[in-house]
Amino acid sequence: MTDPALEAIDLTRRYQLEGVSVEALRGVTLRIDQGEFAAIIGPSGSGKSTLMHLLGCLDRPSSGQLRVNGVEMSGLSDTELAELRNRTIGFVFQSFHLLARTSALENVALPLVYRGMGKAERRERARAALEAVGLAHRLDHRPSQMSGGEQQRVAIARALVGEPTVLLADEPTGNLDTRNGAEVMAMLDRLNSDSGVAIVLVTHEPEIAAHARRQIHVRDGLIELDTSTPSPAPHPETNPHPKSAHPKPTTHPERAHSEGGDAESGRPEGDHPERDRPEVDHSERDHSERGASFGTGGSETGDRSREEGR
Amino acid sequence: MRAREAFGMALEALRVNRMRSLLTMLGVIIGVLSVVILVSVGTGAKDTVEREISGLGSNIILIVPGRLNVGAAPTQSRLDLTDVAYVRRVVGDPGKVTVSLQSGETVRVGRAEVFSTIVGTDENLPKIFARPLDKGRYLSETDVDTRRRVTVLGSEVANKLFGDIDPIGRQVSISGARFRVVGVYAQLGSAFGVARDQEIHMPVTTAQRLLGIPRINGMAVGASGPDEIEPLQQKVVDALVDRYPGEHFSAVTQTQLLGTIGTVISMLTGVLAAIAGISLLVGGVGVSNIMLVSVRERTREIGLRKALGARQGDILRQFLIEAVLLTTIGGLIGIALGVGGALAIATFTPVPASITWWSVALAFGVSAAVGVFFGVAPARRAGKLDPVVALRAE
Repeated sequence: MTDPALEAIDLTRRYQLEGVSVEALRGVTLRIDQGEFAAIIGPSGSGKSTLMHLLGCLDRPSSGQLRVNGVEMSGLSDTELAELRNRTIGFVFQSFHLLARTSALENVALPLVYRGMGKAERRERARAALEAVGLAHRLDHRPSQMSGGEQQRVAIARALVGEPTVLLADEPTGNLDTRNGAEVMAMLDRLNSDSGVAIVLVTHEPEIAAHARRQIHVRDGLIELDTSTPSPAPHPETNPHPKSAHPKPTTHPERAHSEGGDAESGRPEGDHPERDRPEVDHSERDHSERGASFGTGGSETGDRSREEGR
Repeated sequence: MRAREAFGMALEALRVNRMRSLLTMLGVIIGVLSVVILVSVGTGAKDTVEREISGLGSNIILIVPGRLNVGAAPTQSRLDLTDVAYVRRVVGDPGKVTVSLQSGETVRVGRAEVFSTIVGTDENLPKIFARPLDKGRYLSETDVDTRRRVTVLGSEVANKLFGDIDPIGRQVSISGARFRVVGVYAQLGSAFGVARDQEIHMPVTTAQRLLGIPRINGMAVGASGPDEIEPLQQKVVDALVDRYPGEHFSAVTQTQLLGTIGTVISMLTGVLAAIAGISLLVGGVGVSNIMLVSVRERTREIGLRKALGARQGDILRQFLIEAVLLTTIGGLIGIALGVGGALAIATFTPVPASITWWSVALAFGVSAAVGVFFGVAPARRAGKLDPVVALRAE
């Protein structure tokens, strides 16, 4: 347990879009410890989804290092990466991503199929995982026969069935109403404290991010602010506006405001590389200003990697 | 991932899109069906011809003047009975050589008349050819030596001229001459175009006088075993060429006939099967097409599976097995229908059809190969999908 669950050093990610190089991440250094509960928070197009894809080993960085449980991922083949994902990372997606014509039990057992586990053991573990998320009575239901909240709980069970080190949740409440969203968040809270799995939550909603004990603010492909809440996260029902969830307005009031509005109207799963383009233009314009105001060193790496890209 | 899981997943995917799977299989089904039926009919035809040729008798060598050339008119024979005696000396066993002189003539009994093939031959014919008797006796040596006007009738001739009456001892009239019937052959059926039941046999000497021809058309030599055919054939032809320098003589054996006819039929069967194979190929293109659609449709699923730890090979295998299942299930249905169709043809039509295990195995193998061949490209595309892009797909 000495190695951090995830350790990113100066990660960059560039996309080539119609011949134009677009930089979605511009040098992110980040460490997630075992059992930590962190939220990556940022507006649409900030690069938070790109970061999550990199942390989840779904994608490879353009430069920089990423260690998962102490294992450097750049040295791994695609097949080894798939095995790494299978054993150490659990994913929860905004749109659940359950197989439509398959029962809850089989959906949850799917990661174990790729581990080569026998059917009986798979079913046993899938059943236990579904019981842990309170769906023991829904084993044979198909996704279409369940509510959104239940579907997301099936997805959480699927993410946990392989006993991963890290659970990556990408806008897990984005497609849920407030009540179901709160339920799912409460469940993630409990899983984090009970089973000790590290959780990285990606969201654009400060209220959701407030559940985590640490908030990592991402903007324009850089970490803008990394704050820790000293005490466990309060329940959203009792305290919908925790103080710690509002560091942004104090630093960049106008931009945070306008882009927050943008994100809501443009809507949630919008971290397309295409959408990153205007953001990057924007960032290049303000680039010196921010480099000066935060002193993260990100501007230098950004410059360097941009030059490498050409 | 275990092979059984991949198999189960593929079956499940086909089951979900049942109608589409069936329509996709249809191309393969029709292809395999036609291959199996056409090969069965071709094989049936070949078997029939082979049966007829070997039904002539065993180890027969036919000696004819000139070169054998399909489509060309037969050479005017210069062989006569002295040459037959000469060949008998060459062969060593006179009983192993018989003779043939043929002509089409009308045969009458009262008002009934039949156009039949007059065959002038001798007493050795039944020792070389398989010609069982129904009634009476064969031609004898005395019949030949004394130019007796006696005949042995083919079963069809006997039936048409005499009906239910026993023809033995009765008379038939050929070109104004009267002949006494001494025997009737048992029914044989036709051997590749030669209607043997319509023949009338008489002593070759009698036939020469009746037709006014001093020659014969050819000879048949019986070898004592399959190994003797080749040297004997050579020996007889060489002896005749010695006797008539500058002339050509040909020897035809059953093996050669079988070979030639078998080759022609096999070639025809092959061409037909290849045409049917084209429809199998078209079916394969259909499979490829549907698999590409399926990969596109299930892009999100592929992205998810990859996120959950599916390796490129797992995804590739899943889609490849799906394609191969499509074509092999289609192949099995096609084989079942093809075998059923061939049996129906053999039972209800005069067309012979015989199902060969190799055509069934080949059809199955080809349909599996078509699945692999046309499934690889879509499966590779699925395996290579970038999980990030695939997860975002709509």
